[in-house]
Amino acid sequence: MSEQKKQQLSMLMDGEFDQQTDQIIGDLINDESLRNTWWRYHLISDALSSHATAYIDRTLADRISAQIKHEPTILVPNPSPARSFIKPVAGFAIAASVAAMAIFGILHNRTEQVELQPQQIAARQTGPTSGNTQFSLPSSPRPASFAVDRPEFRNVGANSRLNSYLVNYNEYRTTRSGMQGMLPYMRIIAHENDK
Amino acid sequence: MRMTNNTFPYCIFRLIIFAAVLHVFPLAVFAVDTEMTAQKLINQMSHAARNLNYDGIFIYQRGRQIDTMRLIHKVNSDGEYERLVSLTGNAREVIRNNETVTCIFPDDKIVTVEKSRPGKFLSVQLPESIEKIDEYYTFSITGQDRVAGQDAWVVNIVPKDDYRYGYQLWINKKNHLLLKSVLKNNFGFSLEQMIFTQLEVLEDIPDELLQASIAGTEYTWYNNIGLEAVPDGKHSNWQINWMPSGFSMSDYERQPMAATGNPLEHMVFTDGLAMVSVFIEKLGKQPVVATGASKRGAVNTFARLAGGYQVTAVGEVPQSTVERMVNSVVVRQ
Repeated sequence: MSEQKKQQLSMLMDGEFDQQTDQIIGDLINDESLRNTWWRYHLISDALSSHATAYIDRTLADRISAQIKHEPTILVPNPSPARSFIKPVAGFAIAASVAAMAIFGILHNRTEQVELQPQQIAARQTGPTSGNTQFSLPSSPRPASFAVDRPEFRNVGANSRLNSYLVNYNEYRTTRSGMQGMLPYMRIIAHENDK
Repeated sequence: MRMTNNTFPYCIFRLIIFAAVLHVFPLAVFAVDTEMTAQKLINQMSHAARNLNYDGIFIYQRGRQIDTMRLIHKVNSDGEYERLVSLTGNAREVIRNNETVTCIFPDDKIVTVEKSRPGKFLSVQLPESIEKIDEYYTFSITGQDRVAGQDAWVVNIVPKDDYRYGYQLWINKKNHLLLKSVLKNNFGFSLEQMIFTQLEVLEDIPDELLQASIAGTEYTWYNNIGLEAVPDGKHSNWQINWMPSGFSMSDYERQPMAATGNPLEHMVFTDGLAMVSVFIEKLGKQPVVATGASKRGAVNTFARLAGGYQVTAVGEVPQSTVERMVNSVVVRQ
């Protein structure tokens, strides 16, 4: 599996979509090894957030799929005795459609384009220092490896408007409903995708 | 005699009823009690965070991103001094005292200085009306645990609607410092978490520990505190028509924006636990616009243009909440 695929997969996991990662969803459906990686990433994430259960059966989804393939397709509604038999299948289908909606919902949200005009960024004086700078000039050549157009204000330069907003927000967060003291500031100095 | 014979079983019966009520009643009291105790613990936690000297190292995790940071807090008769330093990646830091909040970004060679709001340290309590917050969140102590080698109560705060996030807090049983916190979305999934791996309460903190690790001589400085605040006393020309129930405006300030000098209004809304800031900035001749949704950690933002203004909401609440709030901002009639 290519590094690029893995990277797309991890972006997908973080909810960081772009056009490139649209493809990865299709790949996930068809590629078993990719699905295994996907499962592993989630296991790592769950373990980190101590959600991991003692035993995780990752073949469950495959076994359900296989079982469904073997089930006869029921075209005629059965009388009530058979209901309990159909239900799990129907439940699975609903879950899948909800999942699909969730994915497309996120996609829709995340691909919203932003108007970014970076003249103000010039005020930073240090210039665009990194490829991850989100507030870069739309017309300026952007590093090919960074085609993300999201308006995340991570690494946008300390002097960006949003950083200033965040500090001001944190000040009230800290002092008003300040149950966590200075901790909200961790978001200002945290590193995002620094390589 | 007959009378007595008749009343005796009756007395027994009443006793049984009374005993039964006594048995049930303490349970009811206990249920109320855990809720009250959870809130009391949270208040003690706020108080401890402000009034103890401590030095600790914690992990900040969201998604697959992990940072390690050190937090140092000192308090004396002059006020509070705090320093937060990133121990992984670039040595970014935030130093906070009674006057200023200084953010240092070695990667960009930038230092920003904003003014702190020390006067408000007095209000460390949860919202004044604790009863009211019960309408929007369920508080409970769900168990005990051990974090950073210290015994902790686990407190759960679950929102009753989809407009706010839930919290799970691990609070030291003795000194009430926060040892771990998990912010959860509407489905109960962790959005981000903070876990101390080491946290010491100290008699005194040497001042050197609160000094910046860099001299900052070859840094670009952005000082946002020399700016004169716009005279207060007037209320905003803007009004916000939608916010989650239980939210109200707790603060309002106007000042010029440091980077541009453009007038900036800042309104703070809170339900006592969650908080949303709404910023309204007049755009200059060459407007720098960043509209739409964005996030950092569990803080969501949403911005849109309204006439020559940019309206931005920033808050530790779901994306839909900041978006709806921003879209409800109108010019006051």
